[in-house]
Amino acid sequence: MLISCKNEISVEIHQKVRFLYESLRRFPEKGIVAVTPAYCSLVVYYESKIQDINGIIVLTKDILAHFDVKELVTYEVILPVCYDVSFGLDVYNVLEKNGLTLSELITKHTKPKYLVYMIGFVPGFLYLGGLDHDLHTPRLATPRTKIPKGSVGIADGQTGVYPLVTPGGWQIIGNCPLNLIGTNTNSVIEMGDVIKFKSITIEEHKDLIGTFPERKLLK
Amino acid sequence: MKIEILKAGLNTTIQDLGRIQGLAHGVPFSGAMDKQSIRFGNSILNNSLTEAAIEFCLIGPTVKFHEEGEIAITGVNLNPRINEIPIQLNTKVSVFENDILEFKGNNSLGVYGYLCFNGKIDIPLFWGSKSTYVYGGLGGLYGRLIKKGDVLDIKINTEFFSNKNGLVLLNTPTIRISPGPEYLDFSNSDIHAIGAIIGMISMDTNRMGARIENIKLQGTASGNIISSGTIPGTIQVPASGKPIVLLADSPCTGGYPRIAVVNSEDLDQFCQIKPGASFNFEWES
Repeated sequence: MLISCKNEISVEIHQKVRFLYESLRRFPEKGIVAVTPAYCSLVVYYESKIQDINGIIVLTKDILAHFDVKELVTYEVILPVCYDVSFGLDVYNVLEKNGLTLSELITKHTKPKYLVYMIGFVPGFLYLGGLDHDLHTPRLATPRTKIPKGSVGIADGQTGVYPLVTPGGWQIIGNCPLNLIGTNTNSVIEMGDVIKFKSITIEEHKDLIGTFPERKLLK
Repeated sequence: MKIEILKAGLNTTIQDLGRIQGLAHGVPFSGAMDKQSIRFGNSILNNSLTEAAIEFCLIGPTVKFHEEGEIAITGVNLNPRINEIPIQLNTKVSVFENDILEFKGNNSLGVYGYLCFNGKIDIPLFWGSKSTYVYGGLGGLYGRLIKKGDVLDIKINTEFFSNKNGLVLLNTPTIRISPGPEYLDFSNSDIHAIGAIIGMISMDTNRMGARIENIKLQGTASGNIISSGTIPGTIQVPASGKPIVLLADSPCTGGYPRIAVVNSEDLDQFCQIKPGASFNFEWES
């Protein structure tokens, strides 16, 4: 079953989707087996032997009637990024387009707290909101057929990390050494988490390859 | 039982019924393209229906058995032989040390076949499943296709599970579809066209999706949606107007309008349609 909210990308709609996602997951005994949240919609998978669609609709309405933003707790995840030009395949494009120096780019990219709107496209790919206007850069005219794992990129107003080797057209400005694909629900970043990028050296990058990010509860 | 791969065949992977818990993290379902056939193979061998098997695609692997055991082959008929002697599909077959299983050509309907063993393939679970997601390099045997020289251990099963039927492969099957979330954004002529075509599966079809060759829809006014959830069977219409049916390894979300969804009971049959072969879509009334 697909639940659609107002068709827009906004923090308010995101919070509603997240509230539904976190609430619905708590009802395996009502036949809910999985939920895929997106920007303004969710797909709910349910066991039709246990529950019919009307039961899910009633449950959804009941959850939304008790929607309270204050119940959403926020976790922060710090992702180390090496902005060395050896990783930043397209960093000169971004600097030239926006008239910045590398250290200005690093400051502007590591400053915001980015919101994880959703995870998808490939395992562990975070759709982040909150990129500084001065870093907006269009996609490459010709996408690369292979982008290295961990590449940190910019596409218009979006920024993100490629968690595995894929084709793609984002402008690559650095590399995050962490493993962003968990092996179970306890080991991964969730939608609604806040991401901060932290600049690291090549040596630090080398030491962190393959380690997992840590979620810290924000008070 | 221990087996060794002497020839890999085409797109040979380990698959079971797939995984569901990783969807919110972008980890797709994966799993057998024809679930009825893998369930049937497991039930012939009294395995759990969720046990993994070797899936192959149009060209079967060549396998050497280093110990005795029992196997069953289901799905597409690629004329399997053991030590040059033809064996039956869809039945339990005993194998002995140094037996060699191979597949001699292809003269039948269907795409995907399953080599099932009486026991559990001894590989780790990823998000609760042994299925291979090759595009992401995850799950299965090191996240990759089975290749020559691979050795698999099968832990013999002692439990007993109930029986299921196999899938009867059809010529030009009718595949039922239901309206997708953006159904109403499509023109009447698009809706009519997709329900009336004799479709043909494109050659660049794989475990992620099947393109439909001989139809061009007008599409919706905007051509895109805000990325939203998809399921295996979702029919997307990108700007090209050529519909794509998303399959087992497809991403969990997508940004193209969803005109329809293949009914889940017909998805196995759809996956078994060969590239170049035809089928009908029919709106579920």
